[in-house]
Amino acid sequence: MVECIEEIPCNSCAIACKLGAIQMATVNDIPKVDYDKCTGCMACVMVCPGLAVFLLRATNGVGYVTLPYEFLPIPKVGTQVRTVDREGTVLGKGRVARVLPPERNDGTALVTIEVPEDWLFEARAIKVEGS
Amino acid sequence: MKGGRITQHPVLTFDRESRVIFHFEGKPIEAYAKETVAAALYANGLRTFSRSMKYHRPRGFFCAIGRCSACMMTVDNVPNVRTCMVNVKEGMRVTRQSGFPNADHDLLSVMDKLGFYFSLASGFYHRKLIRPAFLRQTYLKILTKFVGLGSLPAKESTSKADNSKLSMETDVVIIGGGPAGLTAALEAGKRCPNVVLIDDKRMLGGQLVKQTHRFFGDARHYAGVRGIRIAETLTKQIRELRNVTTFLDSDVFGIYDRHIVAAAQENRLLKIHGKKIIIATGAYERTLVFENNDLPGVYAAGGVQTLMNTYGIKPGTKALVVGSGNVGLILSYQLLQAGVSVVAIVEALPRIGGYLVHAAKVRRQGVEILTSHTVIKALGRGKVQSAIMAKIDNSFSPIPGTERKVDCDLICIAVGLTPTYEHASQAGAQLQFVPELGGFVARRTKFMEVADGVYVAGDVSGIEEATTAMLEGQIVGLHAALTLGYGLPSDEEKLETWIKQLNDERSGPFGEKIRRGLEHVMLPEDMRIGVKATVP
Repeated sequence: MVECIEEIPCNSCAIACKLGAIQMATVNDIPKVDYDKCTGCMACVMVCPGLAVFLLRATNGVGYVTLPYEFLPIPKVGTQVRTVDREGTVLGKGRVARVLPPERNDGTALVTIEVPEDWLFEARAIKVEGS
Repeated sequence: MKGGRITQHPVLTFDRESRVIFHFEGKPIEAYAKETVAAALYANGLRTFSRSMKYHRPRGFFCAIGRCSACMMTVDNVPNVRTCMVNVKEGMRVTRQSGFPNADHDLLSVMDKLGFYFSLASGFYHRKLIRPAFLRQTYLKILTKFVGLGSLPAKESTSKADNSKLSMETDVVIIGGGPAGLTAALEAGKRCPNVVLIDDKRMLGGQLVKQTHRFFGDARHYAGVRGIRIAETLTKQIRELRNVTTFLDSDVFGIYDRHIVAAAQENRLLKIHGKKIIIATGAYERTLVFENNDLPGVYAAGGVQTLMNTYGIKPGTKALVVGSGNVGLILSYQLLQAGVSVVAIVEALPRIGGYLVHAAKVRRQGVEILTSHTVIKALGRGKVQSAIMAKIDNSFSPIPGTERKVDCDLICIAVGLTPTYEHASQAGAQLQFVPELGGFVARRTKFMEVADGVYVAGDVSGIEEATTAMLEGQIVGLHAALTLGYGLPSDEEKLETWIKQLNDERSGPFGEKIRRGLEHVMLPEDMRIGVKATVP
């Protein structure tokens, strides 16, 4: 899910995608994702300067949201974190399912949280205890 | 040693290898070797850096890049040293030079209360304090003490001035080592036998060195890469070019006869004759008029970024950010990363100025962005303790009854930039005031030439993004080399490609303002610069 709604001169996601799943006619174009080609490799999530790309997945009623995270502390897999929406309002707890550590991506960690399926389009950030 | 320093940061690591001890007004202060005096003092809790000349109001750390003069102190007996520009050294002695008995408790600040009794209009001392003639010297002595410009050191107590001069001839001189200057130096350096790059800081990179966020732009031009990494990459590439001579810590104070660049490097005079001159001096930060906007704690956005991202010093605990352009939004995000809470972002316009994706980053951290709001007053004794903000109407006047007081110890001013046009003007460029480009800018050709052999690139040519600044740098660096007769195969095409890329970047809705602004200053294609041309 690319939440990039303005015509910003930027094409980092389209160039990062090795599968040609993100199409942009010009550098100012809004990215269009071809979900048939997308394998969920997260190359675009890692590179987006707007931190505007999220990976959403639903299996058996459980939603998984992968989001970029640039704060401290880095959550541990299996722990509970507070999940917040686009306005910073706490939705509830979510379980950390996967973490790409920040040192693997120049400071931007990728965190996958397990949330109820109906939060898939709401959960956009996390708050970790101690931050 | 912790002090007001950031110990852990999600993106940055700070160089804290070696420690030094220097003396501030008799007290030993512990600092890290790569910190500036002003940064080290800030980390140790100092907020009043000087007193204003006339009303003796406290002045704090403001710009951090040697522009505002609020941090001037006496360092090792030399008065008026901008402490944000000098690094700490073992055993250095630093004292504030204004205020009586000292800058913290200044009895002369009574002037702030009494000023209106005396009607101390600007320049009254030139009209009133000149007669009788025999007292003039006495007046002068008292006034110098009063305004707090320090006293000249005794001859024997300072190191002897090094009177050496360095005179050299070169193909291209680039003034400014930020994004535009670095790419210009790279392109020129790859082609010309002799290139000189001059910067007034101690490290190259300009404002890139404090940009911790990833950049937008064309992925072929560093999009998705953090500004600090771009600075590292470009600096490394410059160092590898042995024909590029870099002068750091050097202030260019004039361009004479169109091709002689004069600079001061500590005690040395640099006189550099360049066949081509590229001016890439960037911009100044604008300020905002409101009551008590000089109170320590009201700082320029760039100054706050320097403090926390370059030196790893916590600027405060609760910040109010004024301005929701990309700088204000990014700064707010960086403040959160440094552990500083952001109470709100206020924006005078009815809409958010910067990219919505940047705004979304801070919104999901719970930061309020208040459009049609401004700050009308800063409050606090000696430093900011709270601020009053209010809703404003269509004509930008505060609406009575909407005032709201917020607790904060930091007010960050991010209300835009204005180009540093002075060098271009001195070198013979024709200036024009173009609000869309941020202020006075030079008229230029398609290749950014503003006078015979003089170019501008980056924010000095109009306030835009670092990505466009880097492209402009490449264009002028290459064009300068080509017109000197140093070209590589397919350079002509390269030049056209870059110009096309630059136009593409500006072709979207965010480039609309820039396009409108450029229409005012772009010279017709067939016009040659240098011949005294009258511009329509």
